[in-house]
Amino acid sequence: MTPLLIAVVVAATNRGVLVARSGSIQMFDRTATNVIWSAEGLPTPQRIVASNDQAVIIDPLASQIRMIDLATGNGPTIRTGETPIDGAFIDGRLYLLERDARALERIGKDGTRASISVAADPAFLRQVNDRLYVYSRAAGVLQEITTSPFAIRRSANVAPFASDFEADGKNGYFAYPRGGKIGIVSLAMMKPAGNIDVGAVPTDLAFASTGTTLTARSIAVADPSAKRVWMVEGAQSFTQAIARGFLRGLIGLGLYGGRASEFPTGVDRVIIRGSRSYAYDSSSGTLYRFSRSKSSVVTKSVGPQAFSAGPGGLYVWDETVRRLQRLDSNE
Amino acid sequence: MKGLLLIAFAASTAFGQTTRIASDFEIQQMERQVARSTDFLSQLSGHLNLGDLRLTRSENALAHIEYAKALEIASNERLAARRASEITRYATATSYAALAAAKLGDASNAFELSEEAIRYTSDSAKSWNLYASAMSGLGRPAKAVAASRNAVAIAEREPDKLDLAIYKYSLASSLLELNQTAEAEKLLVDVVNSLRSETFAPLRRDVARTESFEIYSTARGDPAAYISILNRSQLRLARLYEDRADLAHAREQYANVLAGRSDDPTALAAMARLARSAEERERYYAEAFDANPFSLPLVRDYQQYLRGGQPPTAVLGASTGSQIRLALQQMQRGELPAAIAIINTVLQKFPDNDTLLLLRREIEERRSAGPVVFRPQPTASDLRAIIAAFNDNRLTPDQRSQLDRMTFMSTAVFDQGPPFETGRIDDVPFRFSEPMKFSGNFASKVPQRLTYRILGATQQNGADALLLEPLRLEVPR
Repeated sequence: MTPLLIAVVVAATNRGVLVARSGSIQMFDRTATNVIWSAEGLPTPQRIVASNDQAVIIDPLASQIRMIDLATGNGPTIRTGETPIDGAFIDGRLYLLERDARALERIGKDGTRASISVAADPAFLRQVNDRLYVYSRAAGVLQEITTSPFAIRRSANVAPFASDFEADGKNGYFAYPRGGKIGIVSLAMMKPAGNIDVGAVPTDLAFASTGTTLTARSIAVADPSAKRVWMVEGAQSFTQAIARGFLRGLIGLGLYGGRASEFPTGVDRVIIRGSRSYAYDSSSGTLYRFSRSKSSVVTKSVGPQAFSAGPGGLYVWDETVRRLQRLDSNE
Repeated sequence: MKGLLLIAFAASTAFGQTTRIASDFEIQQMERQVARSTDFLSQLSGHLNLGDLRLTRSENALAHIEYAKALEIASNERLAARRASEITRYATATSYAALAAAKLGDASNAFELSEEAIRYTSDSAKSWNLYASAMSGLGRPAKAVAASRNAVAIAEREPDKLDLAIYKYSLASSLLELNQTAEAEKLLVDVVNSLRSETFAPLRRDVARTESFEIYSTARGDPAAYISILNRSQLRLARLYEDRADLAHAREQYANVLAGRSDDPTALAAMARLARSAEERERYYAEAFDANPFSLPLVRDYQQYLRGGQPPTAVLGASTGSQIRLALQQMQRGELPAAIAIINTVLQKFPDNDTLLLLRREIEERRSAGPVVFRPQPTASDLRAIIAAFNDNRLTPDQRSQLDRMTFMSTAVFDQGPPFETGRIDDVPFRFSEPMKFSGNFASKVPQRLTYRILGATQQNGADALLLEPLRLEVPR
């Protein structure tokens, strides 16, 4: 991210590609050439969350959201608690994380609202099936929230100050840039389940594979200091490890030596969609495509939210020509 | 020595909050620092402080240039740090880039940069304080409060009490912007008591030994940070007391500020507001204007005082502050040409000063006073518009011809006489071309009905005035 990059958010959805810019929203088809509909937007959009038929444009600076019907572009603009940063749709309801209000708010289809308080600095919201997990970064608290009833079910004290949190069906993974490690929390037990030492400054995580009987789930870890994306195993149970013929325990390095991709600049975000892997350098706005050991530049000077990999390919907003481009078609 | 300690600075429009002296001395110090140093922190703090100092003097264009330089320096530093794979250095530079962007009013960029920095350093109270300062600068106190709470929570687990005081002060400042005064007051009392406690006695001795007194928003080193945060906290607390009419405690805190820095304009102006006598008030106003002649809140405060009707004491001395105070008194008396002459003189020395430009614009607007209308019984604004039209040579030949033909009638009060030469019509000064005697028994200082022709515009004791030809004087019915 350089100061010259314009705030644009792109999200590839099942219905097309949403582009939110200051004051406007457009839905493009998957070729990125035809506008399906246009609508009024928010002043400083930062994030889009979409379900099959709905989306929400989130403006944390203005503390506003715009609900969107993906088919028509219609929907209300809503004032929220302070600094909404992320959301999730479950059963047509939006669950919105309002960081500086320290709240998770539920907004129903009919506009009814309910809210629960969460711990200090709730920086991440993740959905696992019908449950939500909120990681409060400064407090070092992971809270499990059920949607029916809408309530905090369980809490766990975890290490604070992670820069990313991801959750699969079994575990939560936390990136600790200062500590150079990935923390693991068992979601079944809601207890810390170990650490994985990774690189110098692990900053961002993405699930790279779900694992097989021979391999554990692998996680891609962006490390801007090492200018690499590390691939490491996630947690595996004792039984799984024995079944694979070797026991490395819950704490350990990656399965394969040298499984890291090198980049000309430090990358701090990693995005994996199916077989396609991307890494992003926020300092220069450079987006890379990478495989196990190779990387190549996809585009430069693009904002951190101005690209999206999803159904149809990789979409990038090019501010210099003010056009949406499809760079990596998978159709 | 520490790195930089950022003390929340807000060029608030509310008088006396965190605006502080913009002395020539501090500007010279910072200009020297920028000229002599090459390291990132010296350059950055130099330009940020210069911007803030310029802002207190209403030199907004110059402040903008300084903030733009700070942004450029921080942006270069963050790219260099990233190339060198020094992520903490990168995050620090990014935080300062966010602050500079906020000071430039670029909300979107400031927010994104703040978010980027905090990804890597969410465990750093200093980073959260910078985040809070950026949000405060953007007028987002709720976001600033949230960030400050994180800073305070982290700093409370650390041994450095000076840092904690700074973060508590930042939190209190943002809470005050949200009108959450109870928590803010508790924080400020804690901060002031802590800073004045024995814990900081060694630091106070350092300050005394080095005769330090400068106050900066981005302070380098503990003594500078101590002086600055004590000054700001006491000012905030004093204002809070003043706002709830607890004047004794307010005076006490302002006096404490002045004990540390006798020429603090915010405290001086506050003491003027809270003065117990006219003489004391004028003295404090004079000192406040000398300390910062261009503080717009101070100007407005003084104008409000002048409108109260209490005749101010004569302005003595030739300082810039005295000149501005004299110009404001002249504006109040309607002596607009004299006032604008002073403002123009000061503007030659301070050409980029927005307070001076604003005052000149206001005087010009008062002198122009709307469209020219000729009515047999003119209002004061009609007469001012005619004066302005003469001064600007805007009267058309037709209007001049019409004016020559018309006679007007107004209620006039002569200054002295008979014979009569000068006076006022609804506060608009006028004079005759020579002293006149009228048949009948008329006195000065009482309303009379005057029939007259308008010959032109002139000046009367520094004020715009009408030049009239009297035709008849009568006792009002």
